[in-house]
Amino acid sequence: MIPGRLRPGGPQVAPTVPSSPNAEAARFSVLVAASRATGFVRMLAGFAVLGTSTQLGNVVQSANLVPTLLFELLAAGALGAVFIPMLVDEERRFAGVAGEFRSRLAGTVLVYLGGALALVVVVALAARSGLSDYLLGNVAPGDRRQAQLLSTYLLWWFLPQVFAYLANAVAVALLNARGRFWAGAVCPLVNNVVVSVSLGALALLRAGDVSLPLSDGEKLLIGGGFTAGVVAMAAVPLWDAVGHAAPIGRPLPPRSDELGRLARAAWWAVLFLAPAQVPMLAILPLTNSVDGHTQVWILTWQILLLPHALLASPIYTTRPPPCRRPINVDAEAFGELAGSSVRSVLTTGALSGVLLAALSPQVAQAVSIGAAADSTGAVAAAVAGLRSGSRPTRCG
Amino acid sequence: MTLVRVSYATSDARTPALTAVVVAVAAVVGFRLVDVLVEGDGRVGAFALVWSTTIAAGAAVWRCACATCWAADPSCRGRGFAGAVWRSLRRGRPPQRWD
Repeated sequence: MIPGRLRPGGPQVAPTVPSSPNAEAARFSVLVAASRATGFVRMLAGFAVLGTSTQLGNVVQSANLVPTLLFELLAAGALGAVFIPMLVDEERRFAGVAGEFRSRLAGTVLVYLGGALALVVVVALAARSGLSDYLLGNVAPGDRRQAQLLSTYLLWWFLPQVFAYLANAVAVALLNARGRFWAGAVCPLVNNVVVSVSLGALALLRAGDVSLPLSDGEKLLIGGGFTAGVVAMAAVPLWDAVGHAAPIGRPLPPRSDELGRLARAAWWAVLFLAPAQVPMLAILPLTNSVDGHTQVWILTWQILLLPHALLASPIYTTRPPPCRRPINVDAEAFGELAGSSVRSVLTTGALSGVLLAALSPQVAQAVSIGAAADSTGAVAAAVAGLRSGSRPTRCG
Repeated sequence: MTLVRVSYATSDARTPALTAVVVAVAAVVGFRLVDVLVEGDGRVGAFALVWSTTIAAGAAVWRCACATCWAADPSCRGRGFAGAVWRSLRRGRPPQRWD
């Protein structure tokens, strides 16, 4: 525990956390809606421009997923489940030194997680050819060579994105702990706009051609454009954090009890989020074996998540701070608050399941556009498969 | 995800983590089976079916665990699903729902 002066009277509510989670959730929903709407446009643009009749779409989508999976596998659990709750908890318990604590915790996360990620990125960059072999090893031999060359090139651009994800996550956590949610809700919008513009420029250059190989300029447009989007996404909360969150402080010493406590608390969170990424890592080589199927898989997953993202994620993003307040004081109040959150999320899950079941043929027809016009059957099959578990998925 | 956050708020980090491991193993095995057995456009649909079904089953188990542990006995916080079920059985009453 970082030394500090305990607030008089025991646990108290931090004044910086909004008093009405419902109002905050409503404001958050509006911002998330804008981000998700642009995210859907981006996904459709990728589907239509990269197409489903060659390996182009599969290669770009699977290479672009690698840094996200690495980050989720290694760092996201520790950040999401430990970092934010600890920030809120410490701010509630201590007076005067909460700012110092936030600074040191942020510095600790950046230095130690950043160091671990740097090591992983260096190894992954050195092994990028092997990574491409793993992702695309099941592709038909005639197409495999060009697909692997493009994937290896794109991984140069995409793998370092994990550092932007880390900076983004720390800044958003610091802001959320202060009750500021807008930057975290809006930053995906910036990423979506930059990537959509890059895809639009690629469409102009390629004029509907989705064959491999790409020219150097076209590869640069994809690698540079997608990475620029992620960097811009991280810049939004960083900019807001400069004015409204504590500065980055000195990290905790490597052998300190505090660091050990953080690591122990993070362990189960990492064990929770890491297995969630394993099925995605396992399925990419399988979907890549058929032209366009990785594109279809990712697009339909996003379609399934859309209602959930619009309606449920504002609830579970804005509820945790209040959820943590009563547990130390009143178990019944905690049960009431947590139960109402679960019921809200289940309701949105039921709604999205019903909508998806009713509209799946129309959805498949609507998204199969441009160079992906012949993918209606695959999209309809994937939507039908996903909708079967859509209700409980919201719960998890 | 809501249950994950609530789970950590009650210091029960093991239930979601262990459920996630089981779900991941089941999904990977299911994907491998589909890869061998299904071809054509239905293949990606079968992958989706495996994915959604395993997540759904995991979430159902998890919800049961949450309801059992936290409502039946608030003192079970941090001791996980198995401990709550054991205490419920020992007392001769079924686990209670919490919402």
